[in-house]
Amino acid sequence: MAEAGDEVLVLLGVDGSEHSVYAFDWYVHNFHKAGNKLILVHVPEPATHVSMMSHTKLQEHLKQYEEKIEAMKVKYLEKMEARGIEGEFLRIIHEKPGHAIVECAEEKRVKFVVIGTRGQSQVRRTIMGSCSDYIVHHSPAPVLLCRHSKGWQKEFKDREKKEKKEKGKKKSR
Amino acid sequence: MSTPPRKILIAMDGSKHSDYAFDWYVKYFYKDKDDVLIAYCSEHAGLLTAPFQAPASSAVSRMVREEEMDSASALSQFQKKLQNAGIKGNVIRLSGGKPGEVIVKASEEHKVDMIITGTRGLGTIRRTLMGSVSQYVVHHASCPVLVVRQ
Repeated sequence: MAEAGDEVLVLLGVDGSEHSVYAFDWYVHNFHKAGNKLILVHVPEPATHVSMMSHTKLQEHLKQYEEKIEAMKVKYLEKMEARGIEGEFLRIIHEKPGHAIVECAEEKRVKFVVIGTRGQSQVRRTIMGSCSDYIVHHSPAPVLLCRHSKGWQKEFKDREKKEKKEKGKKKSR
Repeated sequence: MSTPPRKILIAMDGSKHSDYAFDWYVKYFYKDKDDVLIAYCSEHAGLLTAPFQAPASSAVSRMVREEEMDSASALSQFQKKLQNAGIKGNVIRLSGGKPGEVIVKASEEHKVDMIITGTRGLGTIRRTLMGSVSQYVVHHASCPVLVVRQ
């Protein structure tokens, strides 16, 4: 019988990028252990150009933003439910995603943190994103960094296609 | 759906940091059928290959002798750790370059699914001056890396 405090909390940092979805799938496929509880943390990028928008444009922008986040939340919750994984999706407002994730990890006393190496920034200035770099150096708990070799995107897309096919088959039965 | 057994490389240098990483792995991460490769890279290995350090030959031979003794005991200690934990695995000794580089190279040669390292908890400046193995591995590995901080 499990005692209180036996629960293993795993924090997974997610942004809107494919890297995060891949890191999530990778974690679930290879590292998840029954009984681990996931906390998915999303820290939205602060919108810097907001002050230059007109009021209506701003409303529209915010609405789209909210919809995107809601869709992300639903997607991840569905994925977890499909695999019988207990978890929650948190959105934290913070200027610096790296700091937010480290603070959350401390607060929730997670057992370890899972992150990808690169998020939404398309510019490859460094070998690894600044957010991931910060988390690796400041996290209170061990960090699982989902690095992958160059072929990962293809493997990932193949796997997604396969899953969609299987989902389609199930529905038609 | 059963997943194939994971091949895991744990970088150990004989320090208490890497011992901690190993113990943490066994307690929270280990899955039945994991195939563990302990890659031993002695703490001295980096020093002996550093080109700008040219100590007197007697000091060098003393260091080499000490390293051999430390290595022998470390290797057998690691074997015991695997046995005690009931884990299937091997211990290999890496040399011939900076620890970070040889670890990444070994991980690619053995096609591991994941690398595990501990950290010494160095601050930014010391990391730059002394070089950090975990820093290097995190930036250059081609597979997931678990960095176990205390």
